[in-house]
Amino acid sequence: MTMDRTNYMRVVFPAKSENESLARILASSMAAQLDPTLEEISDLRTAVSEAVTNCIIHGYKLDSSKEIEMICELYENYIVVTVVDQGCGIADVQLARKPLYTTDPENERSGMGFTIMESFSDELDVESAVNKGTIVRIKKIFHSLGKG
Amino acid sequence: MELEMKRKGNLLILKVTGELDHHCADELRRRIDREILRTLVKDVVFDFTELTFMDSAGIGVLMGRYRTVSHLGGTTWFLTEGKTSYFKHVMKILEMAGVFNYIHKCKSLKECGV
Ligand SMILES: Nc1ncnc2c1ncn2[C@@H]1O[C@H](COP(=O)(O)OP(=O)(O)O)[C@@H](O)[C@H]1O
Ligand SMILES: [Mg+2]
Repeated sequence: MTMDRTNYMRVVFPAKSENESLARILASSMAAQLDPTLEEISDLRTAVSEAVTNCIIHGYKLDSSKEIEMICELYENYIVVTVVDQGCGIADVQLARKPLYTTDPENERSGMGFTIMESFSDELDVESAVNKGTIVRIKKIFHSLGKG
Repeated sequence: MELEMKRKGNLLILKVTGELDHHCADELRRRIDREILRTLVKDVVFDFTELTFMDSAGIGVLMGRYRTVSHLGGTTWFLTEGKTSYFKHVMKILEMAGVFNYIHKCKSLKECGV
């Protein structure tokens, strides 16, 4: 069964760390239209923050002249947030998704970003190509709504 | 993000409120490290009970300070008695990352020996 998309937004913002909170606010505001629980919103905020932070730190290596695109799509009982960068890409996505794996331990990165995104969402897709960029798609079902 | 630092004997109490993400993590660790070196305290305790947001940047801040403190022979504590519903989320992230294999949980400051 396919569901109709009830709302969406597409935003582009520079890869500045200030925009980590902006992205969380935008995505969670759209999700709030469905009236999920606070806990479900917290899960989404955290997952979006991890995805956007990764574009800034890893994808663009802190070059704030680069841009991140975020697409939020709302369905009857879930949201899909897609975060896109045109940065350095990931050579081995399977390896990158492993808990504690990080290429940046000097800056106190924990390597838990993908693990957190996975455990706080219902589906996580990562597509990446070296020197082309990375697309992370987070699907969060609001089970509290009890539909579908 | 706001940071409140208080010293009680050999213990430095670090209360972080608001949102802890990558954007503010640098400033947070710089201020804490400066205070540890300035006061030469032995142990530190983190109070995250009034955070309104935390992502994996919080793991980095905790583990980084744990390394500094244990290098200087001290203990790193973490207060677990938060009353907000968001605090459960904070605990879930930290448990997932295994930080309590290194950092000691405590229910109150008394447990940290002050
Ligand atoms: N958008 C991205 N662009 C390039 N590399 C990325 C991106 N996202 C993640 N990575 C790679 O995957 C690794 C693991 O990411 P993550 O689990 O979030 O841990 P951390 O950010 O703490 O390193 C990163 O260290 C990095 O090498
Ligand atoms: Mg990350």
